[in-house]
Amino acid sequence: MKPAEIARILSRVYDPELGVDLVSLGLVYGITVEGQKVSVLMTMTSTMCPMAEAMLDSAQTAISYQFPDADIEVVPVYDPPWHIDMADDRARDWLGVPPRSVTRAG
Amino acid sequence: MTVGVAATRSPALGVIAPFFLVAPLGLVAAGLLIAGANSDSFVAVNLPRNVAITHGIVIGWLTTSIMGAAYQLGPVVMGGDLLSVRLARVQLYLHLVSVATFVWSLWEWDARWMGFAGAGLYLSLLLFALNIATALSRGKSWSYPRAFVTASTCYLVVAMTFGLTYVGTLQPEHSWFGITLGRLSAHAHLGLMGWLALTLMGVGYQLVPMFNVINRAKPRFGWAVLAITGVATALFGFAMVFDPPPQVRVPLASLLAIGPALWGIDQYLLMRSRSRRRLDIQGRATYASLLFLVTVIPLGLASALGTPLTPDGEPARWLLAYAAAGMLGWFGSMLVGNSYKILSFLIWFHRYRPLVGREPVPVASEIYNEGAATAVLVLNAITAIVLATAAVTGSMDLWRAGGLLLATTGAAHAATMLYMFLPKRARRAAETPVNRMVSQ
Repeated sequence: MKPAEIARILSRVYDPELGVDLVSLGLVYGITVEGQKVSVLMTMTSTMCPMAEAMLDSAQTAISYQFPDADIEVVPVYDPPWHIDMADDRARDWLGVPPRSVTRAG
Repeated sequence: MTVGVAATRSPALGVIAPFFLVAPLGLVAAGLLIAGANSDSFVAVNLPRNVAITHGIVIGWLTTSIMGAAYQLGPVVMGGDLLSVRLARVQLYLHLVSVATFVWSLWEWDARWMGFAGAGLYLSLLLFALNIATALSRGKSWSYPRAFVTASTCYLVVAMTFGLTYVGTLQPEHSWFGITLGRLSAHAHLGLMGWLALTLMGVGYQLVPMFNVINRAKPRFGWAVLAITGVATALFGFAMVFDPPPQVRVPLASLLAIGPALWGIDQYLLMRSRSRRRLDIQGRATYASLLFLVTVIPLGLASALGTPLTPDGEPARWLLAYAAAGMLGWFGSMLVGNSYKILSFLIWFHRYRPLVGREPVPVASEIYNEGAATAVLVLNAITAIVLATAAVTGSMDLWRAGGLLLATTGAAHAATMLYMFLPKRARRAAETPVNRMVSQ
């Protein structure tokens, strides 16, 4: 079990409202794996996101489905607050935001 | 830090969804009544048919949808649990029977049945107010939606009490007082501005930033909008009871317009700073409602001016244009946009959430059809424009055509919401995402 594997699992979990996966959106702030213990630091696009609990649950369920014996902790983090600059170009494209390279050049 | 909302407190889909699904029947009924209108429709707003049409839209469509939304948003984002979910179910049945009977009795101008249905309606709305007030009282901080909906629920009770006394005075054995146009306007504005506008504006402060991913800009005038609209509605409602002259009506109407105008500026500035640049149904609906708000304010002021602007002895024309632009354009656009989002969220939450991580599930935008939802929004906007134009120009043919459009809008709205309940495939989630490392 490696952080990259956890990230791959989380990149199949979608923000149901925005239609973009959690990793592309930049909602996953950190992944720690120590033995069987998995800790995921995750934020939301807004502190008032109604999907927050569902997304935290979904992340946990997705990891536990792949690693049933893992001790999983998904912790909501709101500092630093999420911003569109944290999303990758795939997510930005879906949301209609110019890619980072264009934004920087501009 | 805790999560600011609690979707797990959401009542079951079977409690909320029926409110949204049956509400458009109010539009269908109102549309058919307009389509069958006589040539005297523009003579007075208080003709039985016009009163029936207004109530079909306001308590049939707008209020029934908002009750469903409030039962969802009350526990999830505004406060805590409802007093009773079972009470919400019972209230819907009582509301449906009461609204249908009330609209029919207004059309027939049957005072006896107006009394029975009006009492049922009053009880239904009191039960709603009790249920939602309990949820609101369980909130911990005063967010915009909680504060606005608390005020609007109070106005709902006041507007309904006014309405009930009107039904009472219409009973032949009572005749407590005469229902003048001013008193009718007081009741209408307590309901439209106090109940509907405050609710929709307050919820807009929550849903517009949420759905359009706005997290840097903040509303500038939120509390001022609540205070000014709250006070202005009370003053306007009180003054109109005494049928004041235009010299009083116009300043009060101007005061009443300040809150929505500030709200419109707020919403426009928020939308400009959104991260979700590609508009979805909610974003389009927000812009549509703002465009209508720009027309509602001058139409309202023209209506307040009254006689000097009255065309061809048909004083109802400005008022009907104002009502069409306000109820269908400003309120209706917002309601159409938000209903697809709220219902798709509920369906996702109750039906697909348990499957996340185990299999690809559809995202919310795959649960409703974006194209069809936009078509309903456009149809609603065209209907509002046609009806307002018909009223201003005095064209009965256009008015009746607008009625057919309104009935079509209602049927299409109901059909597209029913479509959401069909099983959906997960197109977005079935795409293969790029593998990537996430550093700590």
